[in-house]
Amino acid sequence: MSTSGSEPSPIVGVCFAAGRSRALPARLWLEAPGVVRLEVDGESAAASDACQPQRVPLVDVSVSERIGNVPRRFVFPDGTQFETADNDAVDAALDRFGRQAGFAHWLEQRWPIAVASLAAVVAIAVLFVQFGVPALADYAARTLPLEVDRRLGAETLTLLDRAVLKPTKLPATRQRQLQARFAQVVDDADDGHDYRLELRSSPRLGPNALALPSGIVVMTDELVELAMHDDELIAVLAHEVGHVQGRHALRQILQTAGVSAIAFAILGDVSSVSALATSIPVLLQAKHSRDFEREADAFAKRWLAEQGIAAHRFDDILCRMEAASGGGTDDALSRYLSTHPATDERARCQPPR
Amino acid sequence: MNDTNPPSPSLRTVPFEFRATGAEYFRIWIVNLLLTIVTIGIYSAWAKVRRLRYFYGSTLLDGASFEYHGKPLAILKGRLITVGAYAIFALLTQFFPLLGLLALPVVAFGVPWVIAKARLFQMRMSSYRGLRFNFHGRYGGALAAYVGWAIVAVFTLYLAAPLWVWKRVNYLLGNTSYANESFRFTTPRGRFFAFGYAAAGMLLGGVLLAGFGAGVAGAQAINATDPGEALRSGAFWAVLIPFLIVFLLVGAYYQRSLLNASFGGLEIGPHRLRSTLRTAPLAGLYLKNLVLLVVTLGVYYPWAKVALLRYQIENLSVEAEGGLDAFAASAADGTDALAEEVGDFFDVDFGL
Repeated sequence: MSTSGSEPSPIVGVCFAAGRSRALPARLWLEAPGVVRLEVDGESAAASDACQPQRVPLVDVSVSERIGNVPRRFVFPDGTQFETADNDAVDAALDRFGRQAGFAHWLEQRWPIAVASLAAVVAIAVLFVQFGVPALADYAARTLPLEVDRRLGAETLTLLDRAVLKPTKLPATRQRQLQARFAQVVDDADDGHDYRLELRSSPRLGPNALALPSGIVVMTDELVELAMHDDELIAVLAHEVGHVQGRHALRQILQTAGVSAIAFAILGDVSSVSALATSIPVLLQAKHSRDFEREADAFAKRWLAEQGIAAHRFDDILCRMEAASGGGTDDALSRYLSTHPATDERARCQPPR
Repeated sequence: MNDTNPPSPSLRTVPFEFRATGAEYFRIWIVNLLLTIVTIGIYSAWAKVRRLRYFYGSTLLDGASFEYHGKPLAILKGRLITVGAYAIFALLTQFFPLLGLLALPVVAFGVPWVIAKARLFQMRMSSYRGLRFNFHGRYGGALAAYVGWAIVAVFTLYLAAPLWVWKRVNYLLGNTSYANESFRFTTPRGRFFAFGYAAAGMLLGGVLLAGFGAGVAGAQAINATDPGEALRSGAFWAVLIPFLIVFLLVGAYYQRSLLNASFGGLEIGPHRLRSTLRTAPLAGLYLKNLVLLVVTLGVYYPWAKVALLRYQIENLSVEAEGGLDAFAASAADGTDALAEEVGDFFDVDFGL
């Protein structure tokens, strides 16, 4: 059937008759003025279920879009299919009749675009985790009722009491004094939380204070003893109230959930990876936790300034707590994994007198 | 109407071939990912079609490739409806908290329905040599396999869990057909009990052993409350690594047993599938993927995915009685319009 020597070389593949699985070697040409010609080879070409040679206008033939180097498929109007792995020949032939490869494939076959895309994805992911997730968590926390905070903290104090806290040994007058000062801090934080100061002794925790989401602030006798001035304790209490008012516990949970969802969406479906993907938020959690500490620090310092209490009171107690806990390690790794910012970043410590 | 091709009495093994490469898939994946992010998720439907077309098309059997026919717009429509339905349910439970009680029955009775529809969609959108796959499983079958037998498994303290797995595989694979022939799932239930119990035993023994080792090493870690310090001391790793090894090995053993028993028990017409995965290479592959993913912060993902698929697909073969030439479209194959109508919404991906 071939006519002249100048005939372009055929695209080689296999063909199937409509609704039949018999594969036969076949050759295909795209000819002027836009006609597809199919030739069938092989000894079974005469079989009843063999595909038939034909000539059909290109517009009536559906050609699958290119993706990677996946075999291409021509579907003829009668259902005959032609399959070939010679992608470049198909593209060259289609190009002669003004048919361009798809845009997605154009993007996908270029390494510079892949590298640029990777850079863009990484940049977007970093920006999103840095700013987007906290902002979203912040927004979500605002829309959630305070009742959620109350439930988050409800059982925590009972658990802490059982595990690490003991009843306070401070005299009743001292307790009343501290409660009065705490009331002073809370007075200005009129945000709907039921604030309550719980005094406990705790050799395990040492000098420490912690805030539960419901508004309960726990302060240890050890911290009271460590303080040299009541304004120092006020400063720490203001810091803890800052955590509650900023709803940091809830936001922490929301942020972790957000990052988990993203990590899982991108890396979720290689079975061995799923476990790994879930550990990414844990690392980021520490970073977000440090941001919350800074926020609470800022809250405390603002409040101290409003009350006319010297700002160094907060620095003093922080430095003394740091010294009491034996000082922190200072390399980059432990800084990153640490849930609190390094003390030298938060407070100016005076050399011990 | 004589077939000129004489029936070949010889049995030949036709291996599956997987031609995808990590480098090629990386470029598809990263472009998909970027476009999905930039379009706030809308492109994900197109991304899914390109991904599946790439993996299906890269899978060859006897010189011909598989093809995925899902349509992005239909998938997008289905996703929007799913998200919308969920949003409405979430919103309603805000105002009528008692509706939340309905969540469990909705999931228990709804998920099997979604599975049946999704499998139908998945199969009808798949073809080989121009002939479509199909699925004949009904809702009742899915409800029994996924929920009924789950309840049995729970009430037998999971002793009947392997039977539950068998029922699910039997439902998914045994109801599948290609062209005019149905697949037959022939693996006996006993084989699922054998590897299920073996895996459980290995996990229990391994965890005890690793726990003992970790306990010794971990004793040093207790004092190190600062995470940085624990990392440096090595105790953290001494605790983690034995467990990691146990999970990798048992995971690989279970996965290869499940896949071998599932696909290896399939017959269609005179042909039979064989799956020859082995534990050690699969565990090695898991480990390699894990390490490289950590080192590259996830960029290795496309290579990991391709390597895993390659190992699984290239261990699959057909013991063909004669050629694979004798299939013909079934009479019901003209129902593409119906398939797209019912199936397109349910493009959920799920494994065995």
